[in-house]
Amino acid sequence: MNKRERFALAAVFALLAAGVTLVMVQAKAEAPAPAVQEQEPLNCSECHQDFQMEWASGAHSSATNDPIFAQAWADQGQPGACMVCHVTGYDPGTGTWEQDGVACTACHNPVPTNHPEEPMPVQDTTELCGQCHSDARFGWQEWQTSTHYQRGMDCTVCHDPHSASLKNVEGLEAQGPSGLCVNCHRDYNMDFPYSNHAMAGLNCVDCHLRHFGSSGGRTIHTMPDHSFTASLTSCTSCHDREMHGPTDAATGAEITTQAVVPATNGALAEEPAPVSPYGFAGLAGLLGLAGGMVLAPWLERAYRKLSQKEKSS
Amino acid sequence: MSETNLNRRDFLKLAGVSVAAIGGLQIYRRAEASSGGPEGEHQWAMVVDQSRCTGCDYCTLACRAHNDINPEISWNQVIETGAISGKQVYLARPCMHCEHAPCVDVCPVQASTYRPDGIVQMDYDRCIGCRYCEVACPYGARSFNWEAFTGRNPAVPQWGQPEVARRPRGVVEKCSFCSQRIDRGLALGLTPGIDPDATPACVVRCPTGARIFGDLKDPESNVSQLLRGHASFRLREDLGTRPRVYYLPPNGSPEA
Repeated sequence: MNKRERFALAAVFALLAAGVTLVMVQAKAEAPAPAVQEQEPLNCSECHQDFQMEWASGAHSSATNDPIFAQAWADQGQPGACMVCHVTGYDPGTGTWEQDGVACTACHNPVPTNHPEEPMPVQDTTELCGQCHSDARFGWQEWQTSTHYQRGMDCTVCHDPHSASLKNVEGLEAQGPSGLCVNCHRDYNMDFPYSNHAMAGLNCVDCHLRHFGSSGGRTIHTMPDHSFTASLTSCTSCHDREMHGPTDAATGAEITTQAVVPATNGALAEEPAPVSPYGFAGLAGLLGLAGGMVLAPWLERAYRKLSQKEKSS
Repeated sequence: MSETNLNRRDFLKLAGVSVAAIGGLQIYRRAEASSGGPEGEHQWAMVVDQSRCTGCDYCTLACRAHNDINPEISWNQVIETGAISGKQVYLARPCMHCEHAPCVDVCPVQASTYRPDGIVQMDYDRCIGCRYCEVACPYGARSFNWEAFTGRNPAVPQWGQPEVARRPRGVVEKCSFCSQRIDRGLALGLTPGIDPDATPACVVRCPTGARIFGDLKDPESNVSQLLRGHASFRLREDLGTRPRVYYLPPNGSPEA
């Protein structure tokens, strides 16, 4: 076997090795994602500890065991109707429930079998909260007259559903609940601090989110007036001696949108593969070339032996 | 002599088969590539309606939570840009996901690449932290990770659940259009821009609907319709970067 043949044989090995590697790399790239595993019975806090803690600190978690509720429930003869909202997974047939408090599956339902690949469902809508909070005691009708509601904003814009309290925006905590108002209504925050009302220590919610029928103290199921309109009562509660007659507040105009000009979308540059399969194939080819060089003499000898056998037989 | 002749024939046979096999493989590969891109099935784009933006920064907070971002840096920014007829105007700025992205051009290690759907994607395993891209980006959309982010994310859980791994120290980070949400959503048969689970977190969280997301390739998508019916602009169009974030200008409405 001469040098040229030896090289040629090595080249065949190199090509083969490169080809096989290319196929293997591709097969790996195309391998489907691992199958989704069936979930064990729910243990949300294993992964969602933050949410669990937030929830445990709020009114949703104590909806069943809250002392005011427990007392009122006992006084009324433990009616099942309360449990539709005050527990999770209430079964009216047996009068039993899955979990105390308004827990995860009260809103995140039904649980997908392939969670966490598939996210937990939740309708982030006013209607979901309204399943329990739509009673007149919560000021549902007033909320529906508000501009917030009519522009499609939902409860979770201001309320954190897990802690069942108001959201807080960094830097605006000092203003209390009104911090949330001025976070969006920033223009008002430019002027209001210089007003007499602000000087007297008043803030947005003192006039725009008054509690129904209460003079300060909150009782069970009382909620602020979520129409966000400053009513005459807002004024008269301080200015009753100065008032002459009823006045009316002006309402704002709807936002209108403007017109014209279609936009186009141009061509894209090609995306380079993270690690090219050719790289792998090239490396394998080199290895094959080396292997072929080494194996060539041995192969020749084996071939000779074989052909000699054929001749002798 | 006859032995070497045979050997040569065998060699030619073997070589022929090998070349044919590899050639076939390449044809198959090319066919596969042309079905997916260079310009993919979808072309994601975002529209920011400045007349609706109140500057509340909910988008930034949702972004921080869902992408588990170090509080020191920001993938999204809401910038005060001045007032029109007495009303403050805000500029919400995610990554523009440019069609001709300077950051992709300058990256020496191909850590920034284009996805077929138009998203400019970071490969944090490849990034060597040279920060060329940060300098090249005309929009300031990239931030360098000086410190590995450890400990609690203050935006979690109030603003969302982290969906991606934290990036290591020494890489440049940026907005991904929440590609993890898009990919997951598409795999589940959802429509990005319509189904919240498949839409970028900032778009979902925006209380006034100032951010709209969708597919430019679908003429009926909400972004296509908005851009057909409204005047729009993109940031620094003079640079030829062709951003995929479009702005609807403020109209001076007195409503906050």
